[in-house]
Amino acid sequence: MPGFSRLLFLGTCAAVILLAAPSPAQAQSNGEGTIYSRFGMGSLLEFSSSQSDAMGGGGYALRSLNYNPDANPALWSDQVFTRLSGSAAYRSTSVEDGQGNSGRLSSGNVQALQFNFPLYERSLGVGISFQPYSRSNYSATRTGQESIGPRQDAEARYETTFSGSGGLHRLRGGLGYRVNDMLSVGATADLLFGTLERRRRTTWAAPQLRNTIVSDGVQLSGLTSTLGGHLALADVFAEDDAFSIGASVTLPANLSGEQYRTLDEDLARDTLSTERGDVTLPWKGRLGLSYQPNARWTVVLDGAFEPWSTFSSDFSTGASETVPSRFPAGGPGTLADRWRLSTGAEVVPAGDDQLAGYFAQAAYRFGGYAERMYVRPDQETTLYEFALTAGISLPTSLSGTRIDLNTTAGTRGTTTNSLVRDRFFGVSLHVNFGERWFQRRKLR
Amino acid sequence: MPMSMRSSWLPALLVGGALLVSLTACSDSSDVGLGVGSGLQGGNPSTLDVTPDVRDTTVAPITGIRRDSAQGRPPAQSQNQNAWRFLVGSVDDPTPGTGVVTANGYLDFAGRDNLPEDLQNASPDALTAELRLTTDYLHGHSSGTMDVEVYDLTSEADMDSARATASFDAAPSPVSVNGAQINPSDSLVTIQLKASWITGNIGTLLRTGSDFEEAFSGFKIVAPNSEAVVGFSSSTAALRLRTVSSSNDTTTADYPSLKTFTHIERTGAGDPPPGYRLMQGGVGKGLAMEWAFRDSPLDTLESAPLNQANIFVPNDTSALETPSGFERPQPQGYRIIATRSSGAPSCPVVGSVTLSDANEACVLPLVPSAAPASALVPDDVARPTFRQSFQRVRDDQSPVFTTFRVHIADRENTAVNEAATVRPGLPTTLPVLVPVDGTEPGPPRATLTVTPL
Repeated sequence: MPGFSRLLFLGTCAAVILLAAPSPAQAQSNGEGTIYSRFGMGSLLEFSSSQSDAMGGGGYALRSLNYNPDANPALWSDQVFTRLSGSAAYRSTSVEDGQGNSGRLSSGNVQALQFNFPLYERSLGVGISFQPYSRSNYSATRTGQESIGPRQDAEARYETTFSGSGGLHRLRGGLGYRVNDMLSVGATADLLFGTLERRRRTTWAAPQLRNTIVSDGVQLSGLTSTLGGHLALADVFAEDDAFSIGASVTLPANLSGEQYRTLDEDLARDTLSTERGDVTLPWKGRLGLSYQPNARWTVVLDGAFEPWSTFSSDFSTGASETVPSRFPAGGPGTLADRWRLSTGAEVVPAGDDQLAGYFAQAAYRFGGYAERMYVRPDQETTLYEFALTAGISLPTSLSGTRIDLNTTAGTRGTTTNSLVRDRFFGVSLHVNFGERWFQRRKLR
Repeated sequence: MPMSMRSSWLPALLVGGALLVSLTACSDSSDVGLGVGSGLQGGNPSTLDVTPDVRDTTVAPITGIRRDSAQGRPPAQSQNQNAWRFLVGSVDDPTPGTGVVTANGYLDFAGRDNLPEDLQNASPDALTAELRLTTDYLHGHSSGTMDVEVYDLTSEADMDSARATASFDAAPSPVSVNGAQINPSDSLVTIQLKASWITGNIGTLLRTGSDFEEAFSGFKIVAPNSEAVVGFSSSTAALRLRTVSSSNDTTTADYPSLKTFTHIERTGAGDPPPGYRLMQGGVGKGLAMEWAFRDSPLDTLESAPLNQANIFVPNDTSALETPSGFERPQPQGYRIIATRSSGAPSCPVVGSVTLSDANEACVLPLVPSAAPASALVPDDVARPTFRQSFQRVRDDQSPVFTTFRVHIADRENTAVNEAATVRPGLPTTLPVLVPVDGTEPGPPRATLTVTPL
């Protein structure tokens, strides 16, 4: 029933887009909830595809007809279906410090929207994606008391809440081209834009005292590009196996923008000062290996590197009260080179058997990663993040369409040196619609 | 997969996705993480007192009123007519600097709609006339009696909204009986008028309505050699005409008050006690305060978020010497009039009330219950005033108000609403000592709670 199928597909696509439309305001209001997102550009968000997300987050060499990994545009060359993917995630983070104090922050957010289609089947593909690049979301509160009134004979309790919101978004568009059976290449143009905002809200228990909100924000935008390559080899270690090597490089990005400090919020915002400036984000290199010994198993091993020590910013350092506080928080000295190692595996019990049971045709994935974080708040202690990932991919009656459910659990940071340790747990739902579009039907 | 299965996972999918996305950030924000890196600092509010430059100012207060409601007409002004008073007498308050304050009362009556026949038909010799006055204020020595004299005004007096420095011509000879006295501690006093006055004015007295008001100009009441100032209720003051028939039946007719006014003057004023400034009702002596926004500490607060602000002018009641037998009630209110800078926002923008566009004058509402201990400008007026001033100074403009003038504005009591504090106060002669230094109650000041940037 192709008419119904098309209708179902379009309707569901529209619904998912409406639900998941990652308007900057919505996306900025949610996040992972770690105090470390106060530093640098916020928490860097890695999402390539729901398949790689469950396999440690790499998958730079992972070819699949059902997914179009975003991290390596060379993989966009191998497309058959026009594909629309949407992802939403929920994450809960609990944090503790060296004194045993703890807090929790949870949030839901859109992970990515991706649209891919082949110009020439399995030869030249186009990819467009919109997803968060980084996100700032933290909250910490201090309480105190202050004597108020002309006689200062009344004590008023107040809370000072420090919070971060916003982040950068990345709009990516590019092409992947399959040069021959072994080699594919790709390139993208990436627009980074967004607003990072740090807020300090002083609220009083006594209603007659006016609350105060001071916001330091920075709006940035700029272009960069990602180049990728993919080498596919067959019969390498065994007959009918597939071995792939993928690599991509994102060029340094020069972002221009405006830093501001405001008082109050919404319509009552009073802009105390603004300042224009530039920041330069470092390049990023990715290298991945993928091995498929048979139709059931796929194993990946990936690494990424970003020299954040080369980050530069010419925004001022908050010399006076009205000048925005330093960006990034703590200065470039709080940034360190980042690397990330991940590995994962996927198993499809049914292999190529189209007649196997439903759950035998599902894909089961697991993986993990270790990351040296790019922020070093005290400029001394190197921080790491470790996590395990898992997921299940459910086939649907629509060929090329899968529903994925992923989960992740991990830890980051340390409780030494006045730092904190986060323990996070997340689940995410991914919808990958794929259908043949723009292709002439054969006459029967 | 059957069609039924397909149609069942779609709604579940959409609901699941929507649920994940709609989960807004929530937290049980704690102090965990405050010390990470350079630490999360600032945001600690602090409260500071900012004292203004203070000098004396004198503005004669309004002490006249026309009681339009006396004949059922709507009030022409929003003054507190029922509580209005006029003063008579003289007081030498022991508070240094107050001098001798003398008050002369002026009183005019409204015509009646009609007169009882017994009064119309009575001969002038059979009539008596008296002023009936309800006392509601006493400042001075309460013991003993007061000599009082009543004089005819020679022409119609424009008492309505007249200021205390005004005066109106009166006939040289009193119309009250010789040796008329009142006891200030009585709640109701009467002053008998001479029979000759009745005879001379019988034609006027028999008139009604506006005819009476046009023919009768009013009285001036003085209390020579008195040791106290007595206040009489304007609303209950009456001229009573009485006759007693042969059968001993008494017939009376009261002429209600129409206008009252108090002329107040001071002699022999000296300096207030060291460390104090004097505010004195009636003579209009008050304080003028100016805050220097371009000097420390206000110059450091131009951009600081303002959490609360008050303007506070204390009354050090403990500094007033009160001898035995001397009555001195505390004023039940104050009034602060601020002068706008050129180009400053209008009065309502900062929560005040326009008094005079021509004079760029605004009246600041006060906290009624703060009196008599202080004149207190509430946060909803003081905060926008200071906030707007900070913004203007930041933009190299003048603050919203250049000068704040504080005066005593007595009220019937402190149980009035905030809006009533912008009205002129009742006539009074009371003094208030305002400290210029010290800690308790401290000098006039603005108390600002700010959260430094």
